[in-house]
Amino acid sequence: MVANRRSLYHGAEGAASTRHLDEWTMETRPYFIIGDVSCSVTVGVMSGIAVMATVDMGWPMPAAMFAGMLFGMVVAAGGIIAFGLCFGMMELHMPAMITGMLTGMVVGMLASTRAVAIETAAILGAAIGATVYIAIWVADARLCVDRS
Amino acid sequence: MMDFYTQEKWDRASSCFDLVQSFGAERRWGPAKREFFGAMQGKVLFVGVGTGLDIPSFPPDREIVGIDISARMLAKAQLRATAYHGRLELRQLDVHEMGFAPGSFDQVYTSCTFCSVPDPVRGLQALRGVLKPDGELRMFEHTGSRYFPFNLLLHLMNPIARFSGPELTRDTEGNVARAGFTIVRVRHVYLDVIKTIHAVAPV
Repeated sequence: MVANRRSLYHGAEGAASTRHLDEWTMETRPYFIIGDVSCSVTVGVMSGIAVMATVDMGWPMPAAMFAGMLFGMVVAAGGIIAFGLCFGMMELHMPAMITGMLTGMVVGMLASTRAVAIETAAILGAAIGATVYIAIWVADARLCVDRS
Repeated sequence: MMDFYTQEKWDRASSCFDLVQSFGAERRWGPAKREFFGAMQGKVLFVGVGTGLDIPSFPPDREIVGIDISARMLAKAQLRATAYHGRLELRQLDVHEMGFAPGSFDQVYTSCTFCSVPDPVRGLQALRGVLKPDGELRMFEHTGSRYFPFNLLLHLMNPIARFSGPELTRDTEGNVARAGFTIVRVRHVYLDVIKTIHAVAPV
């Protein structure tokens, strides 16, 4: 049996006949957990700072949010490539892209209405990155199903 | 006739394929892939050898024919193929037109292959043709998602991914069924995006 990850290789093939949750199994190897969290948090921080540095109170809010989302996507793409080499891109791209987009929109919205400190943008980005990672973690656990 | 557009795309990708895939992704998927390939038996066709990153995960002493559309990928795979303990023959072939006799193989394996095959249903039908009746199709693939946020993101990223290599939004399970296979088992590896599919050819 595979010791480190995933329900999908447990049990005799063909034994089950209905869709079921194999078990609550997620990535348990510290190397990948640290990598996944670092990627999400770093993308959040970098997106927050990039959008804070670009958007100011002269921007209409919808334009600031849209531009923030695009900035976040670009930052996320960079993060996915950089971290993906060490941790695998397929598992990183979903949380990183959601983090980049959300952080960009939130910081863009705030920066269009008030002055945002770099620390605030970074902390917001980090918090969004961590939250998105946990949400994807839970979603992954729920979707790790065996449909025999 | 060989699909030269696809061939050229993967020839180009071969230069940095190992850099992108060999450390992070293979380290993450290595144990799962060893388990996946552990079910190899009889005469096996492996479609999409690439640079041979999966070869170290093959169980020893099997009879395997590995194909890929890209000659440059196969050239890089040759070293890993030589190190394999068993019979492993590499050939440059397009999955749509392989030229094997019907019923030549007991099993067909694919690993992140049908995200890139231009006409997946026709490719899968070709695989059905070279499998013996009741032969097994075993796939380790990334696909689209049935869930809105994930599917939206995959569609947003797909144009860039498609340019450099794979499609991110394929309905591979549906394609397997459309090609005439009976799906035995689907197991999700990551969300519902990376999965293994076990199907059998009709008797």
